[in-house]
Amino acid sequence: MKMDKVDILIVGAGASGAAAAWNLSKSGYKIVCLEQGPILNSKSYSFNQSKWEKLKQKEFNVNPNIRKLKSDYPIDDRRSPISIANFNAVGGSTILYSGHFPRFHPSDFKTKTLDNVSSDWPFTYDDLEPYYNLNDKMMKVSGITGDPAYPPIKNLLPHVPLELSGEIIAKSFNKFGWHWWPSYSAVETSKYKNKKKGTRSTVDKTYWPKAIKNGVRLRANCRVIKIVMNSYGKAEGVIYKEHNGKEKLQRASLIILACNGIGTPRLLLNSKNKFFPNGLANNSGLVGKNLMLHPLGYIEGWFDKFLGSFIGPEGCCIFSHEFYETVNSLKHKRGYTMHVLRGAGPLETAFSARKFKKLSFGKKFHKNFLDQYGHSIPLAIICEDFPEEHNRVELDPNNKDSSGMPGVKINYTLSENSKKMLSHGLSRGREIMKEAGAKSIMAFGPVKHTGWHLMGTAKMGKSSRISVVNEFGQTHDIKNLVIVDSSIFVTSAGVNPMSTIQALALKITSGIKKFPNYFFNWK
Amino acid sequence: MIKLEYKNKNTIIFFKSLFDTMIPESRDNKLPKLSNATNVKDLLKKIFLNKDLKIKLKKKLIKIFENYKRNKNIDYSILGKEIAESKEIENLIENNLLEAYFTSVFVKKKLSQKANTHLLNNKTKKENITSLLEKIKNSENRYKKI
Repeated sequence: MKMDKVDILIVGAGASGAAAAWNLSKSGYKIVCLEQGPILNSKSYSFNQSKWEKLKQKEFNVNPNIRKLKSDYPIDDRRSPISIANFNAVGGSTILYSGHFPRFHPSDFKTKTLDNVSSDWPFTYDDLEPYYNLNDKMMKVSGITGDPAYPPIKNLLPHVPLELSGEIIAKSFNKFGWHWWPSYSAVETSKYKNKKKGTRSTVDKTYWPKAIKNGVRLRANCRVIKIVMNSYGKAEGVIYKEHNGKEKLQRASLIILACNGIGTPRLLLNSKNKFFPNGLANNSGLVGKNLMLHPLGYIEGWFDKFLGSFIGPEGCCIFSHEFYETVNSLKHKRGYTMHVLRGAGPLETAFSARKFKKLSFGKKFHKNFLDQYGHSIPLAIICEDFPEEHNRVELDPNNKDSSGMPGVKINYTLSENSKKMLSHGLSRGREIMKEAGAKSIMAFGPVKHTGWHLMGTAKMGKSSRISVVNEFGQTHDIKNLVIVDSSIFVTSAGVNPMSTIQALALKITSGIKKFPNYFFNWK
Repeated sequence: MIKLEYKNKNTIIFFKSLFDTMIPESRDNKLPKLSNATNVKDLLKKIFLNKDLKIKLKKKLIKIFENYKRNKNIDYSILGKEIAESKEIENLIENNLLEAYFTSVFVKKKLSQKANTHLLNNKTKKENITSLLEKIKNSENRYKKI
């Protein structure tokens, strides 16, 4: 069935799709967004509800292979030490993210020039800064101005509380003279009362209501399975399947992909045709390659004193960028974030204590449990990952989703640089915990279920030979096909990418508004 | 052998005793035993709905009950306690028990009270963030200017 042609079709209603839709929504274009997942009731994924820990075990598990919802697609990550995490719904991964919202450093856009690794981005931090600022406002980002790890960041909402555990670690950083700062968080801190954890800014509550009010039509439960081309070599539209299995064709003058670093290459590779036998917009051969994941190390310190470390908004309370930039005396290049997390809730504490044989049933059950609960402080090491072509996403024709579309296979190994960086971070994390007074410390990495940050699989660059999209997000091969998600990242940086994903989507869509003829196929 | 049906009286007696031995009331009586934190029938229903788990449980319990066959007057409550102490089926049901217990509104309320009392008793004084940040705020930049 053919649908009326629209001006702009956006595929994916997550972080980047929502920002793109809103930014384009006041320009008078007829815009439709297709999302494979459902629209959720925001109360169903609130981390203030008593069953949230239970829901995270199954329906809201970060791993699609455990959730197995109709909106999910199979991801075979057996050939990767890090498994993929995502969420497919209106809101995308913001439904489950912690809201930690740091920006990239200026150096992250110039790693080739500065450190002779990866490639430089085709623009700078300064070019992206206005969009970071706009996005911070839309996503209600909190924090404190004056951080020596960044150029000035202003107009932030009141910062998330450190609570006792954050203060203890902050003092430890101070003793070493190392950088630390309260987290930049997309958490509405004004709603943090009576130890409730506050409200995360998810795009179904920030961008989408405004975009819909401006006329964008959002169709949930519609999975795009293929992009189709016309005989002029332009993208003509997409074939998608509704929840009931009905197949439809949606034509558009401009198609914008916002499906993340796995979903976008999956769709491009599944859209191969006689012009592009190796996948759409893949003349460079790089679609699906250069997958970057942020190898993550984990340190947990246990303290005699009850800290109530679970108190406070989920996610990060403070972070350190002491070892973020390249230090010539170290064995690795570039660096990492030390990210101090909140302690686990009761259910996760119990599961973890059982796993590490620190909780037995029977008479000692409560003592064992209370010795753990609220007594530990977790710290994550988020390592910059370099792009390497052998780390890739491929179609898996033997493993199909509920619409019959192939799932994906992930091939990923840690580079030597990542291993050295991880090892350095784990050692520094131990030192911090020891100085803070931890009686026992556990440290390991890479952590398996942490593949949230999916980047690099449709790389941005000036040359069509070594990149998939140009600096405007437009694919080199097809004028009216644009990508705005993290697949176009040139480097991964060593921070959570959400802020940069959305700033980039705002930058690219502002370019579309400014120079429409450069992008649209009006024929 | 008991029937693995959540409405069966003996099954409920047996499992209630087993669950409460695994998660008893805390010594200070501030945290409840499992059967006071959650509905045992609902928990059993959930466990038995998992077909794989039900089969595994049945296999284990058949062996255990064989030893009691000759005894006509089985005390299901004592038997539940003994099996809990033997830890023979612990690994099969532990996730269900922990999930039921620690997502119980009652238990969460008790834990929250306990946490508040603890923090109050220790007179935990919050630091002033300005003084904590003073050292770092006036330090050199940690980013490279391009």
